[in-house]
Amino acid sequence: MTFKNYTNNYFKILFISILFIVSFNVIMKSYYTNRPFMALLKKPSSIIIGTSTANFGLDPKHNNLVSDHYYSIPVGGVKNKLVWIKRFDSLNDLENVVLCLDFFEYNSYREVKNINSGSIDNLFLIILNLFKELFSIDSFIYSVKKYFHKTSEIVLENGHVWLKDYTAIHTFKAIKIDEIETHLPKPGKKFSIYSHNNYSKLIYLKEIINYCIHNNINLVMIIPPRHMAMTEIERTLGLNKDFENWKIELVDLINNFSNQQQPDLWDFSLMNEITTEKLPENKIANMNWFRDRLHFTENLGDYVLDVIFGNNDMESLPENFGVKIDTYNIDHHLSVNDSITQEFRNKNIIYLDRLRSNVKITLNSYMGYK
Amino acid sequence: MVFLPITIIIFFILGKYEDKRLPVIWLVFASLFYYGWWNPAYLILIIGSMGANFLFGRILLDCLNKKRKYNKIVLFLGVTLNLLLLGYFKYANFFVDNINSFSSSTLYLKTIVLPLGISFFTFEQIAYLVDAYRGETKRYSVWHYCTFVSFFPQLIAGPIAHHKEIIPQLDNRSIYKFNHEYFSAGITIFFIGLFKKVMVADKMAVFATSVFDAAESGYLLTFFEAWTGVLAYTFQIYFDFSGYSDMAVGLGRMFGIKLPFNFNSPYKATSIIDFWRKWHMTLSKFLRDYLYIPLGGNRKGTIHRYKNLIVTMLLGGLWHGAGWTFVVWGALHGFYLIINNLWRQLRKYLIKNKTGTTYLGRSFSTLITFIAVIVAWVFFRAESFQGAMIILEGMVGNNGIILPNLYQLKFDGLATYISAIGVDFGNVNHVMSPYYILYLCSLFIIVLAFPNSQEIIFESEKINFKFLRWKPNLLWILLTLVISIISLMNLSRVSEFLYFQF
Repeated sequence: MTFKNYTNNYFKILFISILFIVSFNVIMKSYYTNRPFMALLKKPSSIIIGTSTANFGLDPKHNNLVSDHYYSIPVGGVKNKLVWIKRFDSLNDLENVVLCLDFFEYNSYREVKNINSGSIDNLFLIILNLFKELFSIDSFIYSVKKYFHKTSEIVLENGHVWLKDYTAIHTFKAIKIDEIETHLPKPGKKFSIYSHNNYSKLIYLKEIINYCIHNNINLVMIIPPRHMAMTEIERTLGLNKDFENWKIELVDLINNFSNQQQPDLWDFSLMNEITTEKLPENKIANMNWFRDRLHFTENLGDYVLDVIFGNNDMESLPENFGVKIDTYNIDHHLSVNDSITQEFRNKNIIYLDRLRSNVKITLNSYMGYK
Repeated sequence: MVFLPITIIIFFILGKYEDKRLPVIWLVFASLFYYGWWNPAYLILIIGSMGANFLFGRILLDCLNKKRKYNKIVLFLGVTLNLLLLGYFKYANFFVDNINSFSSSTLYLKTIVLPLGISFFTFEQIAYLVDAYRGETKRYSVWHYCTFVSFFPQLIAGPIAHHKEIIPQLDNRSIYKFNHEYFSAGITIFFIGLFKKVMVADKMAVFATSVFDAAESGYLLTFFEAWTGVLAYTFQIYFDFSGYSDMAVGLGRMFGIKLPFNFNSPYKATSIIDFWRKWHMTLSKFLRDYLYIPLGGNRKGTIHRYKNLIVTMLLGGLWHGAGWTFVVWGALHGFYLIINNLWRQLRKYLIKNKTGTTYLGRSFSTLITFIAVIVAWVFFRAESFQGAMIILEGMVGNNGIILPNLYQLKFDGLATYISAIGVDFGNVNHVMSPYYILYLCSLFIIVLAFPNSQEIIFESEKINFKFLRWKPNLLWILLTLVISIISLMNLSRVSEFLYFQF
């Protein structure tokens, strides 16, 4: 074989292999590759956007969602959400956006870069990212698993992930260490909601609100339900005040816009009978409302959408399940929640002691934590 | 993905024209575009640096043999300018921090971002100026000179190319004609390099980082935790840096340009002197030719020789990073080199048969050298002396020799004997899985027993394993294909993008 043949054959087979992998991922509609492709094909006029929390829990086919063209997309990072809202809007003028806000996206101890750094609307980067997703090892592994029916997650045509298995993946005893690490700074590197260079991740949220206002997109923001265990983990880590402050920051941010333009902000994270559902003692038990501390079931997601978009029998729900918050009621809202929380804490001392003790054991085994 | 094919295609299209300046000019602009993509502001820096050094070089060459005294001044100015530039960007913050901590002053200096590749292109140009002063350079064309400094494959992370190695190649008209042999060799070694980086170095980094971070936070590492962490770093740095060097050499070959090799199986070294002939070879050569020898080398007696060795290695350490841990790393290697030289003299005196070595002796020497290098890496990687000392204490078993409980079950009956030799079983926080240990062991075998990537591709006739000799056949097409696809797919992981990059 000559060197010329070597080079030619190498590139031919390389091209065919890449084409095969990309095509395989497209055909298998893997979790990763599904998003950009479905987005391109479906051109939805309304989206539910959040992290996996919203993607698993909020069903775009819910009766109360006015449009049939809702599409659910899980996107990590506030900046990425802005990018994806713009992408969807450029494909087909968006009408509705349901934005699920996760505290840990804002509270993570990672430095925020200037919003102007990096061009988020760069077409070249969009195409490059699309290709990267289609040609990634994660997509390929997922597709292979799916081919052999080894995956429990099925991505539906509307982007929503249907879970074959509703087993609570994180039990009371098994607090996953990476879950806790998400809330911890790297040793010696502590950032907060506002990092030292004064760039806040809220600037991306502000940009999202601005974008929706200027493009006539109806925006609804949700602080999703979270299990009480999550709140108590944060309390043990000393982050509970940050969580409250974050809510205040959110309403302050919304208050910057005129009354007519202000998007609705719903808080579902309060302590009540639903969010205090008992965590199972073993790994195979199911829960009604939660899969783990952050991920809620479709049953609960349906109630969330019921509350926001009206109707249905609301009497069966706790009174504080879903409160629209703004600058006028935030203080009252937080103090009421404080007293409810305290009441619950007093009644469940043994339970909470066990939880805190588990968190501490996990923390001690996390090497970087002091 | 886009930049490289376009640059190569246009380079060879322009190479068809009679005027061979065109592809060279294209290469300079492409390289500067590549550099500017990271931070356009620093383009001024590299262009200014190239322009100034080229002018200094020209002045030195024009005044050669005429005004020797002035030449010295010009050389001094040129070298000082380069060092000031490097000093400002790389060491200013370090300098201010030290002044503050030693004098309890409160000087403030904004954090200065280190321009990519400044350590490399500064050294390359200092070598050029010194050679111009010595009359050991020709009058290069400005475009050839700029290509030498800015050639993108070696601009960011070396190797530290020497002008005599690169610029004469640009006069050779054959490099402007597409060469299938060079190109296929380039592709193969490029992907071997990428594979080393993505599949070995990055995987090792995960474990090494967590262990070193733990030490920094004051966690007392046990024996096995410390050793596995340090070994992971030992392989990480080798596969990372040699991977980058392979990629640079491969990219150079695609353009028909031979860049110097930077690594030659350094962990096979039988002594520290041998190690520095195999590790970061272009830096060693620079330090020898432009620092150690000008300082006097070994010409002024043993004491001066050792002093020069220490100074050279201290500065070599500081070149790697602005921190005292790097200085200690350099000092340790300087000390090792002195011991090695003393041992050689002693051996010469004690043993008549100077050439005779045994397999066992060589293996022992390799082991000793390897351990010495590993110990030095602790200081190289640690962010503070406290962190380094915790790791070293762990490595000597000060915090206990504990194997995780899961191994007690795996060892079964052997566990009793293992306990008898002083190894306990218990809760260990940082445990490498058996697969990881297996991976580590296979890396050991690869670095110690297998030929390195450059031997496989460019010196294949020297290799004992025939199947490893690179040649244009189906087996090598498939091998290259597999490593390229695995590397590329791992480069574009999306999991983190989805869930963790906030």
